[in-house]
Amino acid sequence: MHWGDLFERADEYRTDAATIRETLADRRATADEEDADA
Amino acid sequence: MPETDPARIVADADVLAADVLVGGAAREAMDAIRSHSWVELVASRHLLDDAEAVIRSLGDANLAAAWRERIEELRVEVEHPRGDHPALASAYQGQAAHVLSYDEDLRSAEASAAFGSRLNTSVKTPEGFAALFDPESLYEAVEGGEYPGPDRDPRE
Repeated sequence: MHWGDLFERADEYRTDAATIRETLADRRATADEEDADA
Repeated sequence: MPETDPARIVADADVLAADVLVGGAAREAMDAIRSHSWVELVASRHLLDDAEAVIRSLGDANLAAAWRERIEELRVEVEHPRGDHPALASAYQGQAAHVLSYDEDLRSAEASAAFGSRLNTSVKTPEGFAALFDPESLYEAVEGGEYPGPDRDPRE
């Protein structure tokens, strides 16, 4: 899939940078907890 | 201090996901990389895993898989231990001159502590990078000669 097609596909999920930051922070916090538990 | 390569760039997972799901400055910054074969995106597996997870979470699994396939063709792979910050460690391992991130902490204390005096890398917002990116002078510095213009279609 070309980048242009990929961006067209992604249009239906359009969001904002703050939501992305929050989602990434949650994922990294979970990974840190898993590392601490290991 | 190790030399950094001004044509090597790390985009943190938030910027990689925003390229797909937001557009705007993140896409403009990534287009600068996609448009020039001599500008390199440096990324570890851990960094791409983070971005793929965000795209899957806010989009869907097929979109995330398609993105992973495309970004794997674009990136220069580096490795670092799990547990290191993926963007900072990718920059360090790949000697990248720029890290793009929306994370304010990364742009201040954390980055200074992580890099110390070991690497001359700057952390910028995509907006800051897009505003400062000057392909003419960068081409002259890293490749030599007159800038021939973009050599790749950023939408292919």
